[in-house]
This record gives sequence, structure tokens and C-alpha cells, in this order.
Amino acid sequence: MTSMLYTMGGESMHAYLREIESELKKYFSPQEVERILVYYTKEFERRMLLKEDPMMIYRTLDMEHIKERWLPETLKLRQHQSLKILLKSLIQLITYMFKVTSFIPYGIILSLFIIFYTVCISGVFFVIYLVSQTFYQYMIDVVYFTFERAEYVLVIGIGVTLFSLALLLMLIVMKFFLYLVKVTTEINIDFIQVKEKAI
Amino acid sequence: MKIIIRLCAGTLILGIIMIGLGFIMGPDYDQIGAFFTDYETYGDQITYIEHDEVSKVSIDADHRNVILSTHDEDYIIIAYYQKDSDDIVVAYEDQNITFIQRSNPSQQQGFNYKLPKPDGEDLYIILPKDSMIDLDIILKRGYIDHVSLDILELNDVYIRSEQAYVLMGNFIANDMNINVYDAYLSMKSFKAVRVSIDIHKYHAHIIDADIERLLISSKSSDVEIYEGSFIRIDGISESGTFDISEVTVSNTIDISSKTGDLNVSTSQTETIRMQTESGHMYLFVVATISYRMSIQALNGEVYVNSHFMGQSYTKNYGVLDMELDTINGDIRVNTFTP
Repeated sequence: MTSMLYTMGGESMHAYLREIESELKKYFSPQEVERILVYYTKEFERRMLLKEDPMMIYRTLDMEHIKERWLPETLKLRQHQSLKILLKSLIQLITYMFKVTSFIPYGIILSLFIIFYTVCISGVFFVIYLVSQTFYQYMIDVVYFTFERAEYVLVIGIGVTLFSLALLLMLIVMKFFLYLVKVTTEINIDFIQVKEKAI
Repeated sequence: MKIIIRLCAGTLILGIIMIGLGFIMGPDYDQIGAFFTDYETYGDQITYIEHDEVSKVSIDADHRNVILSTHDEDYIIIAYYQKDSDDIVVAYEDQNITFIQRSNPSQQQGFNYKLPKPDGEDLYIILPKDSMIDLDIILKRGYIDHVSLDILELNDVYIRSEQAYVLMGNFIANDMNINVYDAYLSMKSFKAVRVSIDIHKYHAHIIDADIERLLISSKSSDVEIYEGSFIRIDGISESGTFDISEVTVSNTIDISSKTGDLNVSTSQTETIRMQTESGHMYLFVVATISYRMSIQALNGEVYVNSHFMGQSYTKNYGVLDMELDTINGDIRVNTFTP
């Protein structure tokens, strides 16, 4: 069949697939692009067997909205293992929601949630900054206070323990808020997929 | 993030080990205590004594607990601590003692981990028993209190508080002018000729007072006046309630609130005027029969001695006056047995 396709314009099919690939690469990871290209390869092959011209097939693929076409499904399959991937998905999701008219109200709600989480995470960073400043001041006070060895060890120990505890607590709170960002993003990805299917 | 968490857990274990080691080495706990307290920044108590004649004491402070008391001597004592970060001026001029305290922004970075001196912010003003001086207090934070069991005799009193509680009692004054913005006011067992109170947010309690003329203006504060003897009470509020009970008012009660309820329980009073837009009114008087009554609840209901009277009620005979007026509230007037 491959040899037959080549004779029927297989070379131009690959050229079009490369164009689709370069368009998709702007938004998706190589693995995601590869998965989407499997679909288009099959689509070309199926329609070329029906003697459709590759150029005509390409024109009907609606390249302008190719990102919107594949975004919900791709986001659903994407594994949010790192903060970078999660933020990328979140930005793509919000952009998508604001582009599709029926999702704009949900986009606004999601944005408000994200703003709230951002404020909370910034608050945690501010507390970490204050805790660090307090520890710095504490250590300076220790240096300027006249102690014997036992008091130095005890007072530094208290400072280090409290500082570490406070920092640990703040990091746990921050992780909790990042988890909320992840859960909120994934719920919204599921939501737009369900809505898309319903439409 | 995982590396930072592991690092924190590591330093936490290190800190705990150091604490254990410190305890084993036998530390001097007094020194440890001294490190975690801020006592040295307050220094020793400063005492200012004024033997000359004083007609007025003025306090203007950012943060002080003003504690008034009396003694049998004829001089005034002002005692306080001066924190390193404070600017304090005490001056005597033209029979006036002035105490000014300004708090400078703390140089401390981050959180404060040192315990402050418990009485470090106290400002003791000890006056002769029958001093009859004027008292001006402008206070941002802290409180004002009179602690001695003897009655403190003052002339004119002016208090302006931003967030400082006013908890005065057991005193006699001539003219009192009190402005409280963001704090409670509680005054009890006192006597004054004229008292004018302007309170914004929190509750105001006036208990067992003997005042000729009381004028209260409130924004959202609820005002409670319990027991006491008055010639006239005037009150105006935006959204606060007035709760006046067990009082003897010989001349007039004139109170109004836009949205707050008005509850009054009084002895025979020459004139009672109450007005609201949307609050309810509950009035208990010794005998409703003594009053000429003009009662109107435009969109509400009127009850006199538990009888429904419709939306208005008028009675043209009686020796005392009662005018009650509301737009959206209900009005209930009852006779009570004192």
C-alpha cells in the first residue's frame, strides 16, 4: 500500500504532515505531537485511498484551529509531574477557555481561583522572608549577648529548631496550595472535555 | 522542593540535638530568660513629681496604658518607662503638665521574639484626691483606667482614643468630652454635669452614672445605659442600637437611630422622643396613662400595653409627652411596675 500511496502523492502527504507537525510543536511536547500526527497520517492515508488530493485534504483540516481541536484531549492525557508542566497546562487551559465563548464564565471563575492561590502562595513566601529575617536578627542577638558555652548551644539550638519548624510548616502549606492548583486545573480539564463532548 | 524539605528536616534534627546538649551542659536559666525578654530596652521606671500648682494634665501618647489613681498628698506623680525606641517629653508650663510619647518604628527585622515588659507601657498618673484639674488624654493604643478606690475629682475631661479602651469609673467631673473610634468604652459609677460621647465602632456601656446632660453620638456602636440618674439624654446613631434601662430621667429622653433598635425602660420622664427609619422600638414607662402620646409606625405596627393599635396612635390628655416615630419598624409601649 505504501508504494501505491507514494505513486498517488505520498511525498506531498509527508510535506503536509511536516507542516502540521511544525504548527503543533508550538503548543505541544514532541510526544504529544507524535501522538496527534498518527491521527493525521491515518486520515491522509484513508482519504488518499479514496483518491482525494493531499492538498484538498490539508485544506479541510482547519489548521487555524488545530490547537483548539487537540487541546482538551492532550491536556487530559498530559501528566502533571512538574510545576513547569502544570503551569504550561494552566496557561493553555485559561487561554483556551477565554477563546471559546461558552467557556468564558468558567474561565473567569478559574482565573479567580488561581489569583486566590497565587495570593496565598505569595503570602507564604512573605512569611518565609519574615521568618528568615527573624532568624538572622536572632543570630545577631545571640552573638552580641554574653553567654557561657551551655547557653550558646541551647539558644542556638532553640533558634535552629524553631526556624526549621517554621520553614517546614511554610513549605508544607505551599505544597498544599500547589496541590490545590493542580487539582483545580485537572478538574477544569475534565470539565471542558465533558462539555466539548456534550457540544 | 524535596531537597529544601530534607535540608529543613536535617537542621531540625540538628537543632533538637543542640537543645538536648545545651540542657545536659547545665545552662544558666536566668541568662536564657534575660535573652528572651525585652526588659533592658525599657530601663528603670522614671518618676516625675510636680509640687507646683497644676490646673491641667495633658497626655498625648501613641501607646500607653494610662492608669489614674489618687493619693493623700498635694503633688502630682507621673511614673513611666521609656523604651529605647520611644520619644517622651514631660513638661510643666503655665500650671499645665504635658506628657507626650511617640513610638518610633522598630528597627527589629522580622517577627519580634522577645517578651515585652508587662508594665512597660503603663503610665501612672497619681493625683491629689480633690485636685479638680482638667484632664486631656489623646491616645492611639492602650487603655485609660482609674484604679483607686477613692473618688477622683476632676474638672473638665477631654478624651480622644483611636484604639485605646476607655474603662473609667469612680470619679466626679464637670464637663466630659469623649471621642472613641475603634475601641470599647465602659464607664461606671461616676458623676458629671455634662457628658458628650462620640463613639464609632464598638460598644459603649454607661452604668450607674449621675449626669445632668448626656449626649451620645454613635456610628455603628451599640449603646447601653444601665441604671443611673439623668436630667436629659440625647442620642443619635446610624446603625447602632440604644438600650436604656433602669434609669431615672427627669426631663427628656431624645434618641434616634437610622437602622438600630431603641429599647428604653425609664421612670416618669417629662418628654420621650424616639425616632428610627427601620429599627423597632420597645418603651417601658411607669404609667402610660400620664403621657400625651403621638405614636406612628408608617409601615409597621403599634402596640400600647400589648393592644394592637394599627399603624398610629394618638392620645391628647396627660401631663407628660411621648413622641415615637418609625417608618419600617414596630413600636411597643408598655407600663411596667418598677
